[in-house]
Amino acid sequence: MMPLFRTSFEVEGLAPYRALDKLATRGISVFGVQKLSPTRLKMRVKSKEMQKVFAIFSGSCYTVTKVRRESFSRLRAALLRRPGAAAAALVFLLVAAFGSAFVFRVEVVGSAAYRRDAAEACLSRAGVRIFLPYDAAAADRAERELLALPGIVFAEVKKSGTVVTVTLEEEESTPPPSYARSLYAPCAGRVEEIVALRGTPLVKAGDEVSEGQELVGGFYVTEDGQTAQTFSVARCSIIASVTGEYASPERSPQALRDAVAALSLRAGGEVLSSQVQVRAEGEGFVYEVTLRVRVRCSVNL
Amino acid sequence: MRLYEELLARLGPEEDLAFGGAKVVLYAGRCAFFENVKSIRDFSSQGITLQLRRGQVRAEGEKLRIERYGGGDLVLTGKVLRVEVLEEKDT
Repeated sequence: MMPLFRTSFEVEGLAPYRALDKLATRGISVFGVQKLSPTRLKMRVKSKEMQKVFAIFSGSCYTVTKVRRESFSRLRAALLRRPGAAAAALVFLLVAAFGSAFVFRVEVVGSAAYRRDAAEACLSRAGVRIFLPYDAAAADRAERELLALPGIVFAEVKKSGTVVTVTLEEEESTPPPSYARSLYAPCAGRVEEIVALRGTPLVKAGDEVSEGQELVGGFYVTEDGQTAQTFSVARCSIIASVTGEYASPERSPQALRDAVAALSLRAGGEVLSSQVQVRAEGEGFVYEVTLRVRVRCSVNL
Repeated sequence: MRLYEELLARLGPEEDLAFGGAKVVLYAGRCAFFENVKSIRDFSSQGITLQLRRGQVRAEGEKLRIERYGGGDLVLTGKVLRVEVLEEKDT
């Protein structure tokens, strides 16, 4: 195959083909050898070896004439044979080289991506538009304008290829924790103890309360008599009396213990004392159990 | 090259074939490839005589042109009509 960068020359001498041997023995390959006359040959060598050729033939009986560079000659000839393909290749190269300088699409990403319209409006005012060349200074202006949008904490405009990507992040507001405002009695009974670290106690030790009654209110009274809302931090213990009946086929200590255990499970809290009355009913017995329990309750503790 | 493999299979791995032996590949009417060429005895558009390591080879045809010559290899293009082994002796 003919080298891309080559030089053609003519060698004249009595036996010009011996010049080929001379070059071959010196490691120089020749290409496209043509016999122009009995004493003249035309041949080609790699352009970078031309100096060596002159050195080899200097002082010899051969005359080297008509040196001409033929670099790109084949390429030029091919282009001239196919001008349409050459033009298409040139257009492709130009589009590939300069096409990426244009903007063909805009993408908006991030937590505020739903504000695409506002983002595109900012880009357009700054000078970043589709089908126009991309301008870095205009992108900086667009970034500043995007950051000025309400709720936006981060904005970035970047270009990759022909796509401009706008990253918009908005402020994430964390909802405040919800606290119970008041403390309510879980059962009816007598208040044994009440402690309120925050909020206002509405009952005191010794008061009888009903189930669901507010024990500590979620408010406080300021120095100037105003009522301010807050959440309560308090605990309370109530002594309650719970009664229940349980049927059993037998009358025995075990059945009595079972009746007491069943009611204490239902009542909850700490059992302080128990009272049981048994009566016969039908073929079995009914255990009437009365328990005195301490029930503790608290809010935000 | 399948042709080479067949030739070597028939003739055996002789040293001459593997190293330094004269090899000619002829694409009839189109070109010829010569290996282990020592020098060119004569050359014209109608014929070329090559001195190989062992013997000489002459190729004749029309509009012959040395496409490439170097490193002991020679590619002859043109209408190569015949290739003849002239004599075989060591040089």
